[in-house]
Amino acid sequence: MSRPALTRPLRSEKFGLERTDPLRWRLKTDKVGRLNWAYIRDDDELKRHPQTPYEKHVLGLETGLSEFPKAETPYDAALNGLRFFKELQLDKGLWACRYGGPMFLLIGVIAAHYLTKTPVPEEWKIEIIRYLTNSAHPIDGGWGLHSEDKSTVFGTACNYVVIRLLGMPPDHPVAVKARTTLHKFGGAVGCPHWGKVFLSILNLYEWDGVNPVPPDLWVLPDWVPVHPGKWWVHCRQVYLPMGYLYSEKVKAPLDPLLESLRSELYTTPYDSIDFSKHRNNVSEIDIYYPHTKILNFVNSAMVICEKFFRPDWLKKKAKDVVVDLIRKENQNSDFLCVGPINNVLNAIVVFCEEGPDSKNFLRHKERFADFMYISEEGMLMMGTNGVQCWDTSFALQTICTIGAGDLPEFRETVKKGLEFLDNSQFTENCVPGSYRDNRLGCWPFSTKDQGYTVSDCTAEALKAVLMVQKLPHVETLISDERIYPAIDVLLSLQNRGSFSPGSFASYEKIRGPPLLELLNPAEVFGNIMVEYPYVECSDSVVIGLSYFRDHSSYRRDEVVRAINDAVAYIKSEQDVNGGWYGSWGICFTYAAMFAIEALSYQGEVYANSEVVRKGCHFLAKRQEADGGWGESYRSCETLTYVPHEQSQVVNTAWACLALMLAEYPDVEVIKRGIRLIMSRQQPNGEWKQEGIEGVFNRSCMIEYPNYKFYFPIKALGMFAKKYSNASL
Amino acid sequence: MGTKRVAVITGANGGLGFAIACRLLDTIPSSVPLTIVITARHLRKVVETIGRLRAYAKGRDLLTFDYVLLDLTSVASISEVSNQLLSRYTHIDYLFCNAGGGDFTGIDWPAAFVEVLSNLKDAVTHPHFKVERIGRVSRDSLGWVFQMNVFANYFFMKQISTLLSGGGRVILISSIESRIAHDFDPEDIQLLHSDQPYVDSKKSLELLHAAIAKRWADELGVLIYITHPGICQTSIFAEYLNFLTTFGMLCLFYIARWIGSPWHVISAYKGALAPVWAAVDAVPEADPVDGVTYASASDRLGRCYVKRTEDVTDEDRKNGAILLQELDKLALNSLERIKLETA
Repeated sequence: MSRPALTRPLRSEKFGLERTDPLRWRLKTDKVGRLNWAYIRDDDELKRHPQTPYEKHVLGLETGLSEFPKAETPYDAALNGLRFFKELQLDKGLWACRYGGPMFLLIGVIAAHYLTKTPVPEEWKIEIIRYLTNSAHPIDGGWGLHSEDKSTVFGTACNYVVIRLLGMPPDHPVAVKARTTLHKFGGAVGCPHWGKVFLSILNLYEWDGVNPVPPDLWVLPDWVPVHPGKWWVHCRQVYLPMGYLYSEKVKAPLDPLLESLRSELYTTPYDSIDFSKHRNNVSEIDIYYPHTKILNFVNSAMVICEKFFRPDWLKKKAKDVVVDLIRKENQNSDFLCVGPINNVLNAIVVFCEEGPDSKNFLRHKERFADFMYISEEGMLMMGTNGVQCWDTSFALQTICTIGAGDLPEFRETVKKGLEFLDNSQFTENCVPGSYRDNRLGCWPFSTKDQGYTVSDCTAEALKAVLMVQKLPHVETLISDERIYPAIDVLLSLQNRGSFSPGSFASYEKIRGPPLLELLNPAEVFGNIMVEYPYVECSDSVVIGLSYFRDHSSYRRDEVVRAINDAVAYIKSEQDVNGGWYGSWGICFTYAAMFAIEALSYQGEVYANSEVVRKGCHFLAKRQEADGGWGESYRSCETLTYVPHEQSQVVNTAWACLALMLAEYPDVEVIKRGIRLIMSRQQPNGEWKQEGIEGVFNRSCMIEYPNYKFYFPIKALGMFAKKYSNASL
Repeated sequence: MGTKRVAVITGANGGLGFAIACRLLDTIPSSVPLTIVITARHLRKVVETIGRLRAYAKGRDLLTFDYVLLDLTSVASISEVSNQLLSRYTHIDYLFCNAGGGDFTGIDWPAAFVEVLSNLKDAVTHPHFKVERIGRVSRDSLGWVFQMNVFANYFFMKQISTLLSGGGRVILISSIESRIAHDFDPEDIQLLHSDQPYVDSKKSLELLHAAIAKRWADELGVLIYITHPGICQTSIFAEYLNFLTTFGMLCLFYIARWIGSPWHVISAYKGALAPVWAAVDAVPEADPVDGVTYASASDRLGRCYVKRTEDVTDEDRKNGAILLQELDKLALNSLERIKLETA
């Protein structure tokens, strides 16, 4: 049962839930783009800082931005869109966004607060309860893995605990409904692994019912194929603190509220449950990637080993190694960590190791707020600490592509955007022994503080910088010497040898064999154990390197070779029917845009390339009757193109961009898409939020709300420049 | 290029459902854009099934998959899934009501021996030795087997009737075993007291068909065919058999075929013949919906054909009307309850 779209009035209003004053929320930022929502109680301060259009936009208030006469031509429509979008830029030059979608994150931050006895701010409590009420499934009242998912045990159990810990009474209709659904699913014993870990930390489940997360693996020599240092960074960084918590059996002291929750989460009395029998009990509703037989065997073996054959010195040694690596992760990411899950787990570990008043734990506490985002529907937790660099890079590229960078009204926008990218470039590498690659000269997905680069983020930022610095009025902030190290890293990230040679993965080069996926214990995600090659990442790197190739002769031969090898990989990933599967956006339209752009920079277009032709036909055949394209998130889950209920502006923009870059000969097809994009534009130049845009690990959807601005703007502007700006 | 066709197959992950999907791909020319909507209870099965079907379709170009997660034993689930289909599609050409099941507990082995030895053909056609549990109640407080095999199909069809109207076809899947069903009992429509609710539910499905086929054809333009797949080896009973007994069963099936049973088609793909034929190839003028059951059958050499039987009695029609009245009442109650729950 996937869920229908959000309806008005919001459910929180129907239930008469308390809400904070939306006029009092302000978004604080700094020069590297930290995002902190603060609730201002002081009236004078409020007056000193009137709400910005962005703050109003996110909170669902009237932005008061001017309306324009209806655009007749694609270029006017593009400029109107850009006029709206530039007003959303923050004063430090970046664009912010709510990066919601995953529904299993709040339990982490609330558990961390609860266990460490850190009070949750009142305004958070109110708004989180509002958000969960509004995002609950309208029929069964549960929650899923992500905001558009059917209800699952994982989502329902975790978020039920959240609303209860934040003060919602158990007899509130929202709680009753969610609990009924949870019981219908058989109770929280059917939670997948991560859910079991969170519940155990809160003393709402027993650690002996959790499949092993042995920190001891970290003690193995680095060359051993299963060494966690070879895993995908998200996976290893989550299982690192989880291993500590599992090994130490960390749990919150029992109190009356937790006692009560113990009786609410299960269908039988807590004390009567033999948790050790539920290690492998995972609700069928939740499973996306089932256990392999090997994993079940390994788990059972590890349980026995842990009981009988695990010497204390090994346990101690493993703990030391793990704590050291956790400290390094905190240091490398200024306590933001690679994602919100290991962020909160690391905080708990630091609390256990160093105490509540330690400098490190206090820094952790300050960082919790970086993941919390206010919206019209309430407060949510984001999938990272933001999308700052990624969004800003595409915004700048869009402005340059459509030739608006020279227009006086956008000069300041471009200048500030470039300044932000200037401030965001990494200036130092990670501390040695962190199992991290070089990052000097690269750009992050979110912020410089967070410290992680992704191959495509560096490439797209690089492209944005080169484009912007070519504008006549723009002062060069980032010299070529500062770009060379980024090129060095990109070249070093290309996969060679046996793992998909030529391709690029996400954060790192592929380090371990894909066979490790047989040990994937997460149950709800696919493809998480090691890095995988990604078409879009490879596309972006090709695009970035191609720009650089035309700009500088630095390491020319290697750059050209890298491009050629990546292009060969991209071509090899095309389906027989011409599509490319998108791993980070929904889905085939997204990947098609990136792939065709990468190929177009090598001079491969419809007229001369069979691959591009097939890619175009794939898209053209999927155009809807209204001229648009619409792809459902179900594409990502099923690995096939599944149409959305309605055409989507974002998918339409991607498809049109792909066809234009391919120089698809039937311009009428593109024109119909452009017309649809124009027809959805609002009088103030914006486009309204439609379906969710992004995805990770195939099964979890995630929001990229700025996509609905810069991609349509780019498509409209490109159409006007490439074909004609006649009225449509 | 023909116009786009949409097929919904419930339980497409199972043996017969999957075979129906394959057969559909083989029957509908690849120049016709086809959407196959898979329904299963869990996403994992959906993903698996679509993967297998893609491999089967070998790069067929104008083929789209979609899915809905459907639990036939929950009216709320059916109602929600119906709404999803209504929002996604403007019409549905074929609805295969394939999913269903029984509450089996095992095999009465002594009885099985006696039956097989005394009349092999009957024993492996409509056996009496499969033991069913009595009285299982669903979460909606209905007879579990009755709900899944009878009411759910009717409720689902009704909820999406606007998508089917004007030429859509519904394919109901009955079973040869309905021949050994008890007489219809108006006092136990939900089959809570029956000692063979699965068998009886298949009979009820036939009664339902007898009651609605003509009316739906005349009033809505929806053709409801009732079919059965003959005897094939599917997963419905697999958990009670091991390697050896499965092999034994297969041997008996082949022997039955050789001594002249037309029903032992044995493979699911062959069993899918009648359902897919009824959906795609049956011509209403020559192949009426009312009063006829279309079954997959096989000759001694395993060559398949569609075999008709016309044995609907007046008694059946009378009982069908009683059943229908009850189903309509249940549908109304269900809708009211769902409305209350979502308010």
